[in-house]
Amino acid sequence: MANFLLGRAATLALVLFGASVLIFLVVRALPGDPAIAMMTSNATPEEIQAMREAIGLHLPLWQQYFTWVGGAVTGDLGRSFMYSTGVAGLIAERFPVTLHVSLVALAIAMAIAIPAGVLSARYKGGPIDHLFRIVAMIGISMPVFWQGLLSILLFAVILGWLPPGGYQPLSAGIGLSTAHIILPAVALGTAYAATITRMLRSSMLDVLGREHIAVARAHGVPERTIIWTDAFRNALIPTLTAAGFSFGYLLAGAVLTEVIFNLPGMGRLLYESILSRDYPLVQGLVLLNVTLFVLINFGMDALYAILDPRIRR
Amino acid sequence: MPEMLFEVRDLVTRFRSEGGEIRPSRGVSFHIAAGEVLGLVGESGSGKSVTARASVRLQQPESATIGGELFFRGQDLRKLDAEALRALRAKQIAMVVQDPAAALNPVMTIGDQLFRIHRLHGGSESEARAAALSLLTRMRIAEAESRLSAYPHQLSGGMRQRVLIALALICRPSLLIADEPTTALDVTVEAEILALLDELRRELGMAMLMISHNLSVIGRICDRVAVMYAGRIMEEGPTQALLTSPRHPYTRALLASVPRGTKADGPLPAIPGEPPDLARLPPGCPFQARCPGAEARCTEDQPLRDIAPGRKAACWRAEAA
Repeated sequence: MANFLLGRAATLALVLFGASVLIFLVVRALPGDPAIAMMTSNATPEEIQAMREAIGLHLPLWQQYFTWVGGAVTGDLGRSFMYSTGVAGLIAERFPVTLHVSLVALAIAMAIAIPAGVLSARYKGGPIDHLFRIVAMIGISMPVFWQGLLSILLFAVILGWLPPGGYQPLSAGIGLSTAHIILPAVALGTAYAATITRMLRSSMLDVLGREHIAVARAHGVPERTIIWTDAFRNALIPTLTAAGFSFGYLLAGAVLTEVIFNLPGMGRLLYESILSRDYPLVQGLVLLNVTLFVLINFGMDALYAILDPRIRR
Repeated sequence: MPEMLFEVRDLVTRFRSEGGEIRPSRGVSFHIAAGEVLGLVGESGSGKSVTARASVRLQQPESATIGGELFFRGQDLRKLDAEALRALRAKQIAMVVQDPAAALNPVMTIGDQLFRIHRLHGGSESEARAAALSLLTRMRIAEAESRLSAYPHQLSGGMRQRVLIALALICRPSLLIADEPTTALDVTVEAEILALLDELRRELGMAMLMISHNLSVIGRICDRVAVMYAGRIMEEGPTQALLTSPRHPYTRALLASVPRGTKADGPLPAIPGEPPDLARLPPGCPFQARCPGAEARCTEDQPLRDIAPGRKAACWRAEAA
């Protein structure tokens, strides 16, 4: 088990290194000069050059890279061109918003997907299965921003039950905070619920067709135990992959959702930073997203090892 | 005459497939006395596995069984509700299957799988543990104690098959459905497992429905044999008599294609033609297209009938043979 996790950790470090190089280069391949973007349109070439030197763009690429990475490993992601403050501080301010929405969305997705996926498989071909199939198709097909707009229209504009957007941290009171977060979380959560439901359904069906299920039935194991213990735990392994990736995407900041619901999260920050060619901010955000993705995968691998004894060796 | 344990009358199963409706069991009848071993033999696709599972209501979906009566100790299994049926599982009727790698839950330890079956049918944790340990030891599994905490993937194929048998026998059932229990094993392990199974069966006084396509396996441990082809039983009789003087042309063809182990015999005679398409069976005897002695009346239905004391065959010319 320890060996397995150690191996995964080494892979993780390699992936992060590769990703950092890639991020650095891709950001610099974007057309547009940040120094120009930061200046007024009547700036002289000398002023622009001075700005380039001030933000370190005159250095050779490799030197810029090592300055950035050297800082990153100590937690210093550089200064944002646009906000003129530390990137790490900006992210630290925005990250809790995205994490909060993502966790609530994930909880909603799981609360829907687990019973829906299991019951669809249990009653395959029956009315429940068809109902969930239709609902899931709608969930998959309907863009999140569209669902978000409709829900704002219904719950905020027509009914006036919930605020149309904005964010309140948990410290402002759980009721107020939840009122702000529930619409974006539902919009995101139902979309992921649909994918995970379909995934869970098909892996449940696969497991339910296996011989060890027939053997358990042959020896009088109650159907409920067969579904929730024998089949579910085996079906969870492939489903976790889908769920893990979904969570990665959620954390990467659902850009559109955050823009629509006016949430000050990472997605919106990324969107703004790309528009203004804010290299350090884009790099910092993308690096953080990659790190989160890799960490989630690492967490998934550890979870597989707990769920499936065959992986532990 | 020993007590009648299990009697199947006119079992019919039905599935829908791409080629149309198929009936893996088309009016199958057989009976097993207490402590008796009945072999169900036939080629792949003859319907023997579906028939055996459906006979104890283990075929999924259950709606595939559309006709027949299944008397176990005088009680029709088809009339029992799910709860009553479940109470019979493991304690009265158990099952061993072909592929031990797929038949054990990969994420549960051997011990947990054994204990829970024992506990489901009454008994404490410590009783379950004791029963599992003594059975594994009885199955000649070395270091049984430590095997209990092993996962299936940590055991060899032969070891897994022993565990699977232990799982079936832990509640001392009176009927075991053994669905090709040794097919996935190599020959030496097969012989060992068969001998062990037979020994335990005698000890428990357990009856067995042994499904196999392997006549030498059948010959070794069965009291009687039923030969199945295209969803029907073609011939039935005591093992020795049936194997030495088969009455149905299909049984004869099947016996002729068994290798005897000497090269001097020349090439093995294969049964000419192909197994029939189950979705498009001709009227009458399903073997007629491949039968060397087929005649006009073979297109009429020929039910399984008594041809000699204890022997039945479904062929017009069974007596002539």
